[in-house]
Amino acid sequence: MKKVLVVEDNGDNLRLISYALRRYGYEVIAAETGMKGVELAIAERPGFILMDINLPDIDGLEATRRIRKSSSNGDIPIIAITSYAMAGDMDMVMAAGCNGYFEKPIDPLTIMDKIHALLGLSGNPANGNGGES
Amino acid sequence: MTEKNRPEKLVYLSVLSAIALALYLSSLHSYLLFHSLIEISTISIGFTLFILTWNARKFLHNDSLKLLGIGYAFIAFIDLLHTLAYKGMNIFTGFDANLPTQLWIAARYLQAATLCAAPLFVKRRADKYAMFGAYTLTVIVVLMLVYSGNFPDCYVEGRGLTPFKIGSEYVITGLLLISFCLFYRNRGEFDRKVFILIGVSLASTIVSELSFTAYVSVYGAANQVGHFAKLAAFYLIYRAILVTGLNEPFNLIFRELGQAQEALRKANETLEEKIRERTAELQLANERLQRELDEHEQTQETLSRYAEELQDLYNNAPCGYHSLDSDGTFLRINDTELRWLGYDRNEVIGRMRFVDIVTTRGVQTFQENFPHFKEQGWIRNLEFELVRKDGSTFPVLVSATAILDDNGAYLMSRSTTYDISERKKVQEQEHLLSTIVQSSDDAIFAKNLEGVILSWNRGAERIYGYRADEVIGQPITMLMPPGQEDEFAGIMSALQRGERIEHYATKRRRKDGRLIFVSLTISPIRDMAGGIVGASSITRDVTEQLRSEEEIIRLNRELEARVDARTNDLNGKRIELEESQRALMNIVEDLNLKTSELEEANSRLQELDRLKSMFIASMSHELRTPLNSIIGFSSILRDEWIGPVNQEQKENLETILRSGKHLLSLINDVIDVSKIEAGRIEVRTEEFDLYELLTEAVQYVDRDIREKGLELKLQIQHHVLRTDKRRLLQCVINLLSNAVKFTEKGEIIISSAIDGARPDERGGVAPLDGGEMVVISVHDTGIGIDEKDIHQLFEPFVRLESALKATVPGTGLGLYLTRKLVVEVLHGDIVCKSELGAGSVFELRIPERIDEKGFGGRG
Repeated sequence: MKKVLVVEDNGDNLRLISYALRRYGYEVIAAETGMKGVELAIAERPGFILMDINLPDIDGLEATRRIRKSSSNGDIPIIAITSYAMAGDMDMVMAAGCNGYFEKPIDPLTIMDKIHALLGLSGNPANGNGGES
Repeated sequence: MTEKNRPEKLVYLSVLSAIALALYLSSLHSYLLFHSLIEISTISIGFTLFILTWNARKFLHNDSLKLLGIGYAFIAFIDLLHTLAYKGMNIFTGFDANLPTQLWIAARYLQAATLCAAPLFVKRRADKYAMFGAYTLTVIVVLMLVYSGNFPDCYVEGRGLTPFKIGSEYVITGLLLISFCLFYRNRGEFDRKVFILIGVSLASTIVSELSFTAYVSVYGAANQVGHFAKLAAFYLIYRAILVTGLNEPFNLIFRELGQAQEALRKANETLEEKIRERTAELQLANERLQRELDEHEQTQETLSRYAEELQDLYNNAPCGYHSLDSDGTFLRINDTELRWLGYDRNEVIGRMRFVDIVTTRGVQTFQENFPHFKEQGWIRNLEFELVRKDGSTFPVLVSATAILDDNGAYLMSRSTTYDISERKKVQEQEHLLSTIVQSSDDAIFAKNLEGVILSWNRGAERIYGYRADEVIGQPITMLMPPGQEDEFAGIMSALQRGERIEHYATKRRRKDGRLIFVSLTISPIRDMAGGIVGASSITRDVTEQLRSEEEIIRLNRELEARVDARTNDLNGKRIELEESQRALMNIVEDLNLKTSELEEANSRLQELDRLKSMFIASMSHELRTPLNSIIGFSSILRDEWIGPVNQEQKENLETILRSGKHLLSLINDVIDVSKIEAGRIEVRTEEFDLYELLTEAVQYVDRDIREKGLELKLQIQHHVLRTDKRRLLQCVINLLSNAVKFTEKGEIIISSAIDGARPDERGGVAPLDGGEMVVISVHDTGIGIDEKDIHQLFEPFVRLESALKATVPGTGLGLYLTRKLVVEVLHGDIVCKSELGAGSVFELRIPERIDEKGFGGRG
């Protein structure tokens, strides 16, 4: 099963994204802080990362920079999840090393199509009625 | 030789060759004959050398040539013995070939020694007799050694030359080389040709000696070559000394003369150089002297010019100068004073005394003052009447200082005389005028511009009762009755304007306090330049002219009444003014109070505005985050991700989802509107393609359009824009979702166009830089809008009455926000054309470029 790292401090948002990811057959690893996110990105070697920008310790941009600098998993795809208020600062997001970004709110129904389109992957729901069953 | 012409030279060489050939031929006949001829030739040359050197010794200042001459005589002598002793001559019997060889060696040693010594005597002097003695002694010793058999053997019959003989030849060769070196070092003392000849002779001798080391038989070929070389060497010495020294003696003489001349020339040059230097020094000294002379002359000129100037100053000064001796006799007098007096200088100097040119009274003055002057050394401004030659007189002032001798005794005076005729006349004139003024019955006085009294006549004393010394220097106002002092300012300003006041009737106060009625005439006094410096005042007492005291009193009362009335009037006005002022003050105070209240209100408002901003900022996060969860989770529940739901549950979830979305868009709209109204909306321009933007906008409504079964038509084109992409997208989505909401069947058309039309043709907005306007239209076949309602469309919280109002969700902010964004962010305009029941067209016109600051223009 493909692993995905979600770095997100809001539990509700994390749960919502996880539903969508699992539905498409991904295993979700979660980190609630930037530091933890960097650690897991290196240790677990996920297939890609969804990175919230507003985090309690180091922000998502700094976490992205640190991951990019690490030798073991430096070129992993990272997709930033940005807040509405940050609109327009996307140059900063891309400069930090992200491959792309989505603005909140996340629509669980469409997010996976967008992720696959961005990463050039293809995928369909693993089963018709959710990954939890 | 070089002077000889070519044929002569040819003859000479032929003769030499012939001699050599003859000698060679003789050797073919008999070697003895050849030897004898050769040796005789060399012996002859040797002797000839001596004889001619001896005879020429007076010309030869070079003793080395002398030494050569003497030396070669002795060498020739030994060579003669050698020839006679030669094998086959049979003159000295009992000797073998050893004897001639020994003699030969001896002669060669002597020759080498001579040639070595000769260059040493180039500069040294040597006594010819001492030379002679030395050679004679040497030859005798050598011959004794030979004939006694004590000279080393040189030739042994059957064995040939002894090592001594051969060694000696080498030693001799060495000596000859030394000799050459010595000659070379002293070559400057010889004529160049002589030196060359000596050098070649030495070389020949060396050849000769070396050939003699080689022979075995005294008749052998080496011996023959040696003899030829010997002859050549002797001949060359002969050429060097005799031919050159005697045939061309002048060369030697001239050479020495030349040398002497060269020395002379050098001495001459040195002398000339010294003369030149001395001349230059003399020239410098001369120039210096000339300069000094010039300077002296200049000084002299300056001095005489100075003297002339002094003289001129003395004679033509505008006052008289003279000097008197202790008797009062003239010693000096200048032209000016002479001109005044009408005398010639000759008549005055030493002949006249000062008392001769003054009046009788002057004589007295002089006699009184002159002794005193001589004592104290100066006198000042003594007045005299001088008497001209023609008897007329003129007044002068005389001042003088004394010139004393070294002992301090009086020598003479230096006196200046000023003609004061003009001054006298003026004084007389003044006196006359003053007398007239003084004698006037009217009061006449003068005052300056400050009103200070300057003069005071007797009439004034009579009218005002003050004496002159009581009022001069006092202010004129002292003459004015109390309360009337302000008259003064009026009079003074009239005077300063240059006006004259005539017969001005007023009152004045006398010294005793009594008031008098006067008529004043006041005129400005001007200085020489025409400036006003004061005024003259003539007062006439007219009190007596007034009929009665009562009349005066009445007039007085009237005046007082008028003054009182006027004063009351003024007092009334003043009170009114004070009241108005107080009222005004109250108003100002009220205003100040209101202003501070306003300021307070304003700061409260600002605080409220800040609170509102904070509220909106927290709304944007705090409200939206839970709402996003509501929307997100209800959507996955409805889509049965978690598990199957029944129809009723699904509908309820649908309601939650719809309400959540409605609330979210309401919040977003409220935030945007408040940002725009607070002027806080940020404009972010970027470059993008219009086609892509419109395609993206369509995706947002695509699902709803398909669900409602409407047809969507795109009539859009590619065009690069630079504006706020996000806000434009928001506007287009708003228009599209409105169209979808209010259209139940039919189609929705979105189209774009470029509009180059000028604003005055359309009446709308236009880009500032002359770029183009982009028009985006959304056309629907929906319910339409009544024409009378169109103007309300873009107002906030207005939802038009329609059949769909209850079912279609809306915030009432959508078009209001869209218009705000189009106008204030995109700098464009939005219009709506519609007809009830026939669909609507919303047309959005924006500039293709705006800049970051939000202005349309050169983005």
